[in-house]
Parts: sequence; structure tokens; C-alpha cells
Amino acid sequence: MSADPPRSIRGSTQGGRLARIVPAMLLMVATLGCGSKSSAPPAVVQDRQAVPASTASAPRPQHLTLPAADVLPAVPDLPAEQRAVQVVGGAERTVAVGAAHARGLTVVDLTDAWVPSVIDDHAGPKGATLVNPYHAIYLGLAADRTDGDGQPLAAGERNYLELYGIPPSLSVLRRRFLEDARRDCAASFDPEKLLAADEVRTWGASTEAKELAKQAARGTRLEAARLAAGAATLEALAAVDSRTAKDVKERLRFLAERAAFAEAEKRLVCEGLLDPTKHKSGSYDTAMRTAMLSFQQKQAVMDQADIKRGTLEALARPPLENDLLALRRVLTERAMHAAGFVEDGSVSDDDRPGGALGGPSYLGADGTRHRVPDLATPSLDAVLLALGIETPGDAVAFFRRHARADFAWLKVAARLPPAPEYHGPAMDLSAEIDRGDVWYDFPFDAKGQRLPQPRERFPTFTLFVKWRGEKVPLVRWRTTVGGWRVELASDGQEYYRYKGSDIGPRVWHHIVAAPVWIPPSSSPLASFVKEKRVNGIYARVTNYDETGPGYLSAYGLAAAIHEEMRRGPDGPKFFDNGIRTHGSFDYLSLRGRFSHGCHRLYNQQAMRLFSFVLGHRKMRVVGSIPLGFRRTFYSQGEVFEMRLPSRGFYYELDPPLPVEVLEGTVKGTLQKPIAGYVPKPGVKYASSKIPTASTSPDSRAGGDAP
Amino acid sequence: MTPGKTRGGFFSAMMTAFVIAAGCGAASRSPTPAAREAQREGARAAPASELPLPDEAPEPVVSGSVAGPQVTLKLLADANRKAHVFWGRKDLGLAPLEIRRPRGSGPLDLLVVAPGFLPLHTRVFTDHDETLSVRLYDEEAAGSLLGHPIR
Repeated sequence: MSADPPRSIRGSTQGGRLARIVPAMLLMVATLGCGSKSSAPPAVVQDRQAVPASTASAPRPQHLTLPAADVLPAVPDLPAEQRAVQVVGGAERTVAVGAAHARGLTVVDLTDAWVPSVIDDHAGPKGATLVNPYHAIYLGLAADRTDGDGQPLAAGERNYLELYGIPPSLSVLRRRFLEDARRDCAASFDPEKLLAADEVRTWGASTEAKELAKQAARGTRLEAARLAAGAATLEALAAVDSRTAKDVKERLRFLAERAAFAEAEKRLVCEGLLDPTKHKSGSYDTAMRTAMLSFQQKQAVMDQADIKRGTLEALARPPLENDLLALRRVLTERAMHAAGFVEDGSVSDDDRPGGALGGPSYLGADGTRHRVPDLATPSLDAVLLALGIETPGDAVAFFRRHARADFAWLKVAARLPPAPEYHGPAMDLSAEIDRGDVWYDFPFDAKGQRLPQPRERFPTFTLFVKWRGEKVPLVRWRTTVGGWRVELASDGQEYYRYKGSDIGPRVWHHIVAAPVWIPPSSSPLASFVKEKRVNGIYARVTNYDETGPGYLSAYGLAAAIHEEMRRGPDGPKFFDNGIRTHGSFDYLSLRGRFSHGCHRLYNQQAMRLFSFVLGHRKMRVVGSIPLGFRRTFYSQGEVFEMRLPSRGFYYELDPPLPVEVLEGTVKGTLQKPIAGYVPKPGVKYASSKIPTASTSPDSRAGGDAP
Repeated sequence: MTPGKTRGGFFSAMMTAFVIAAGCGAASRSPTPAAREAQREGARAAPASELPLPDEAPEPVVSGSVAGPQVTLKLLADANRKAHVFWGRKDLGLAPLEIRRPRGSGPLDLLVVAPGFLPLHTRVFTDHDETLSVRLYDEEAAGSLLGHPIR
């Protein structure tokens, strides 16, 4: 087995960061001051920071510029592969990639050909290139060229897949900036009205009319009361007649929500997401809901068509401010991958004890303790500094300077923060999943009423490095664990089953990019046919969304297989119990829902995590593992074949990476999970005999997301 | 949304289901299956206005994402069946046949239609050359298939 990381990973981690010039970084950090604290929004978290429109035009300090030590000489006429850029004193120059490396700078890839290294092609044995089949699909999705099957998008159609782990390419962001700079949507809506509501309640088609009528009746009633009381306003009415106070409060809240809704409509129309000819003003109809979902996914807001505070804040921002936030998220990801970093500050606010500094720290070669750094924030700051981008206007100028064709070669030379001393090509990494509070009790009473099973501690995923005898946490993210799920049994009836996560020591022996989930034969067939556009027409086809490979796959864009390692006379043997740590399209499930036993991460985090692991562990690129799965089934007078030629693109970790799943705190009465199926309360079953539950690895992933 | 740029009936139907399922969505913490499906669907179906930028032509629509080497996909079937193979609106001809596509340009969902047999939906992949034998099912043979009501 090769001990070398793949070429593309090696390329992204080289640069002698330990030898970099620290004073320049210190100067930069000092210059940025407090402003840098919030400058690196995590890639896929809801941005709650309101940016009033007025800040866009507020006076701001003069442009920051690169420290002299980081300024490279301008070299015109370089071949594309040797060319990077820097902005010095407000003017962009072309610099040499080789000179950047020699100066200890990191060259960050801004091209449309970028993919996270876990998705990349790699050199295999004997120098052959092992092509990751999903590589090309990923590029097409990121650049808004193709759909998840590699087929061209319709004119004007966009992929908003950041929440699904595929950030837009730079040329897509370029389009957004230049369109928004032309449209001036900021003048078309009132951000104050949007921010005056905490949320806007919405209803389905069947209840919306009733709710609006109820609110109108309340308005009429209160208006009559106001006139009768001689009160100037509803607030005055509430003050003189306390019986109306509750109604007045509700009425004012409703009015604020409707005003916000009207501004949202204007905003979405201006941004080109809502077709006013297909929308009934004031109604949360299909057109509006679709537009809202698109807007949220474009802005990486996890409100799933509900109009909550995060959505209202994003709607209230001028479009170019949102574009800048998107650019920052994209550049953060590019910088973290270029440097081979994973530390995103997620352990910084941890309240576990960690030495004199408070919070997690590590023992340095200098004998003192250092905090585990947030490398995302300063990495982003360094890239923005090298690109001369502080404001939306700077970004517009940058994109105006560069035609779309430039994103075939564009790179930037930036001084990223030095890698912590525990970084290296063969780090002693381990992972831990703390299941948090766990209930084994059946969660329903005999009448089918859900019983409360509150959790104070939710499951977390932590990546550690063993350094100088200590386990040092690098990132800590929310994840999922198994719980009670409905499952279709072999008798064709649904039962409850506790699908717990495997507890105890396991290993990651294989990491899989674009993994494929094999549906067990008990999977409901209805979900395996869908309608989609195929070469210009809509047709019923076999649905590969859930099987993958793809961003909607049950195993996400990347997964690590939890295997039980048993040592024997013939060496270690590995057993797959069906549990994975994997990315997930179902980003809302990370807020506290249960899986079928797997440990989900946001797809974006999974990509960063597994790219980091592959770049800092001894491993072998295995490539696509043939599968040859073929299932034929019948649906509505037609025959469908499901063909899965590959299990995904495999990497083998050697040695495997230890992962420990902690039991957590068991709440309730039962201290061990119930095995097998439990009948659903209130359901009459055809037979009293309960079928045996499957224990195959893929049965763990039954349903729509493991 | 510019008129004529929606993804058609399926998407509308899914979103309608989502609207209905969403109901009191603002108060819901756990999305319904329909909402999750909309979450899947919404990611792929985001029509936007087409605003050509001042300095360039609209984004070219390309077939596949990688130019370069081609793959050969062979679809085998008994020629006596006179099985027509369709890729979307394009009639690729009678099986057996060969399809040439750019390598890595994504899978093709094919429909095979032959007199006396049920329509067959299958998929071929463009990662490497492949040969696929197509088995067609008449009404009687289809009775043995998973999902058939008489099975």
C-alpha cells in the first residue's frame, strides 16, 4: 500500500507553512482587528447576522493592502498554470505561482475546475489516473451547467446546492454579482419592514384563506372597538381596554408580518426568482413558496420555505451584500482545502476544561499551551486581502476585471495562517461520536400518543489528534444517531424498530467519495420511480436520487464506513455493521432528528473532513469499486431497471482511523434497546406473528436517509 | 421566474404537495416526507431569470461536462423484437445499437419500446465502454416482477 497521499492532496498541503513569516500575519491580524471575528461564516450554517442596508454606504476605512513581505513582483505573460494574482495598492497584478510558493504563500485555486480533494481524480498504482466518476458531475453542478445526471440545465435554470455540499463556482458568483449590480434590487424593497417581524407565519393552500379571513375579522372587530373607545391607535386601545390587549398584540404582529411578506414578494420578483404572473399577491402559493425555497438555498439559509428570522434578515440585505457573504463562504472552502485545514473554530466555544487557556488547547514545542485555532477566519481574511475585496463594490470590480474565461486559470497567492505544529502527513487522528442523551423506551403509549423524551445533550462528532500524549479536539460538529423509525417489514406492513447506532470502538478503514446506497428488497418501490426531464421531455424514470451517487444520496457526497476490527492469527478482519459517518442532503435533520443509525454531517463538512483526513493520513486510492447491481421491477404498466455499476470511489486508510461511539447518557426506564419490530399502536395487523427484522448493512439505511 | 422556465408538471405537483404538507409549516420542527421530497427537489429546480451580462453572451449549454474521449455503449436485444430505443425525445433507433457519448458525461436514461412488450426503462453509464443486454417483458412475464400486483 502506498504511504503517499495522492498528488492533488500533496499539492494542496505543500508550502512549508512552518517556515512562513509570522510577523506579517501578526501585522495583518492586528490591522484587521475586531472586524475579522465574524468574517468567516461556516460554510453551511444559517447566517443570523443582520446587515442593514445602510451599512453598505457607510464610510469605511481606506483599503487594506498586503504587507510588503507578501507582495510578489508582477510578471506578465506567464503560462496559465504558472499564473496567480494579487491586488496591491488597489491594483491587480499577475504573479508567478513558483514565486508564491518560494515566499511561503499558499496558492488558492479560484478556477471552475476546483473540486474538494476527496472528489478529485488521483494517481493510482503505476501512475495511471483513477478517475472519480462524480468529478465531472460535481463540476457541472457547481458551474450551473448540468444537473445531477450530467444533463444540460434548461436556459435560466440554476443549481442552488450550497446547502447540499456543492458551493457555486466563482463564475456563477461572478454572474450573481454582475446581475445584481445592474438590477439595483436594493431600492425595490424596504428592509425595515422585513426586519420588523420575527417571522412570517404561512399556511398551506387549504388553511391560508381561513387564517387570513380570521385575521381580517379580528381587524374589523378591533377597529370598531377603537372607534368606540375614541382611541387614536390600536396601542392606545389596548392601553385603555386591557381586554383587547391580547387581540391588539396579535393584530399588530399580523400586520407586521403581512408588511414583511409584501416586501419579500417585491424582493423575490426583483431578484428574478418569483414570476409575478404566476403568483397571487399576498398568498404563499406554489410560485412564492418555490421562489422562497430557491432564495433560501441560494443564500444558504436553512429555513426550508418557512419564513423565519434568518430568511427575513437575508431578504433585508441588499443583494450584493448577500453575494458577498456567498463569496466569503466559497473562498473559505477554497482556502481551507488549499491549506489542508479543518479547524473551523467549532471547538473554540466549547466549555469543556482544556487547560489554562480555557477551551481546548495543545502543548507546543515551546512548552506553552496554545489554543486550538480557528483557521477558517484568518484563511478567508488572507484570501480577501490578497484579492483586495472588502466590500460588495470591491467584489463587483474584481468580477468586472475578469471575464468568465479567466476562471479557467485564476488563482490567488495569499499568506494563510501557519499550520499548527501538530499538522503533518501522518497525523494520529481519531474520531468520537458522543450520542448525547439517549432514550430506549418506546416513545408512544398504547393509544399512539407520543411520550415526551427530552434531550438536553444532542449528539456530537469530534475529530481529535493525539499530540504530545494528549487528545486534542480539532472540530466538533452536530451529528445524528439512530432512534425509533418506521420500517416496512417482509410481510408488507409497517412496524417501529429501534435502529440504534453501533456503540464502542470501531475504525474507519475506507472513505468513499460519491458513495452508493443499495436499497434492500424491502424498500417501497413507489419511491424508485420519478418523473424528470430527459433530453428535452419529461419522462418516468428509475429514481437514483436516494441510491446515488449524488448529493441527494442516502450516504451523501462522502462517507466513512464504521467497521469492527477483530484481530486474529491471519491479521485484522473488518466487519461492516452498516453504520457510516456521512454527509447528508437532509440538512434539517442535523437539528435534532434521528437517523437509522448513521452519523450525518452537512455534506460540506463531510467533504472538508474527509479531504482533511485523506491529506493527513497514510492511505491508498482504491478507485471505483464495481458493484454490478441490477434490479428489475414493475410500476404502472412499465418495467424499470435499477442499475448501480459502482459502490463509489474508495480510499483505504492504512492504518485505519479509530472511531469511538460513546453510549451517551441513557434516559428513561430501559437501559438496553428493544430488538426487532414493535407493532404500531392502534394498527390492526393481518397476523399476530411479527416478522424478523433484517440485519444486513444496507437495511440500516432503509427509508429516505440513513 | 421567467415564463416558460419551470420544470413542468412534476415539479409543480411536488411543490403543491409541499404546500399542502407544509400546512402549519412555520411551527413545524420536523419536515414531513413531502417537505423532505421538496427539499430534494428544490435543490434541482430553481428557475431564475435569464439576464445576459453586459459583457458576454449567455452561458452556453453544453452536453456533458467533459470534452474529450468518447465511450461506446452497446445495447443488445433480439433484432426480431424491433425494439426502439429512445433517449428523451430522441429516437436512437432499433436495438441492437451502439451509442457514442463523451466519457464522463453522465448517465443516459433510456426507454426501450417493442410491440407486444411492456416499455422498459433502463440506464447506461458513460464512465467506460459497456455492453448491456436488454430483456423485454410481456404482460405474462412481468407478473413475476417485484411490484407487479399479481405477484
